Amino acid sequence: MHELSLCKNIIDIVEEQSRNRSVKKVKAIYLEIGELALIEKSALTFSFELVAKGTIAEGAILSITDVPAKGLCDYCGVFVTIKQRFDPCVHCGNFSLKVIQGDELRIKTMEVE
Amino acid sequence: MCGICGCNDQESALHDHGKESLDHKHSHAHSHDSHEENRLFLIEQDILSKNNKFAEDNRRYFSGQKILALNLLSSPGSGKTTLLEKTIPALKNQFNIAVIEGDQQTDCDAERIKATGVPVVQINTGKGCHLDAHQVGHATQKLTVEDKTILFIENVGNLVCPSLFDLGESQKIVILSVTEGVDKPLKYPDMFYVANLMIINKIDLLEYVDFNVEKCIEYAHRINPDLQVITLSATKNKGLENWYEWLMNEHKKLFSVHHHSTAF
Repeated sequence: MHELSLCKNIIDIVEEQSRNRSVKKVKAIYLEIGELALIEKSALTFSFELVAKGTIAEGAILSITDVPAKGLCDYCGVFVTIKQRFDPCVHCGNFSLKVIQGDELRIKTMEVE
Repeated sequence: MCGICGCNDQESALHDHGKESLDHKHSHAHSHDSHEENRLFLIEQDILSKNNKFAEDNRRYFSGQKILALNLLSSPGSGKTTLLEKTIPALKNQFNIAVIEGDQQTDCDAERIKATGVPVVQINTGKGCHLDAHQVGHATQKLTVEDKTILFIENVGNLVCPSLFDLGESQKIVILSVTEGVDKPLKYPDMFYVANLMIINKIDLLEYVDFNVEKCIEYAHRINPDLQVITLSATKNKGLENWYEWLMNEHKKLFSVHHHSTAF
């Protein structure tokens, strides 16, 4: 359940960013999570609620935007949408896809009062 | 107390405890014009950025001290500790060796390694299901790892979470035993994607289990075509020479990068 430690990281970053900005409360945190990023969203939101308790982000909404996974075929050079790391290229059938998008674990913005 | 993470480790670690460590270069926060009460700040930061910063500190330190740091990853029971129990006596006359043991509870593995006579430190992660770079930084200082050491970091037995956390290692080694099933790479693709070397262990049991080595390697290469593979049996001393040779080559590479000469 690495989602718990990721949430600790999120809170750390949010607290750092709130410092010296007279933030009373963090209302919402906007994340971008890649489809291949090994994140169970329900585990992340559940963990966040626990970890945020007693912090400036208690009660904040965690808003997650999914980033679709894309790969570049080493063999035929096309960009394709992928669902799994071991998908073959839909054009040539080779297992030669380099993941170029879909690993994201980013905090984009936060809404504060 | 560590000012970065709030841990109570009194030891110094590889990062600077004296100043805020977050790199703000990538966070151009600004508040949008706000006639309303709420403000929006742009953060644009990787959730793992703190861990990655510690990992870079570790990597810089390892590189400076000529330490070959190897992150050993697998399910529980794949034979990681047994492999180390065999490897250490075979190589400790040629190299300095040190071990960081990661487990949720107990120091059973650390005790086994201690019996081989090399420095070892146990990290108990408690509820944590993986080691992180900050813990490894502290553990490295506790060990007082000498220069030109092979540092084995035995991660918590788990094929999912540890794949996300860079520890600053030189190489990630995933260990799989033939009792686990041929499709393990497909079931846990992220771990095999990040690994540099796959060790297939317990090959002495091949006659008793339904495990096709070639198929397993093919599956792993679908995910990571560059993955190197070694098959061995730690308990029965089969194939260990290939593993030792791999270690020597990695050590040599690390050393010659800095010295343009070999270590042997």
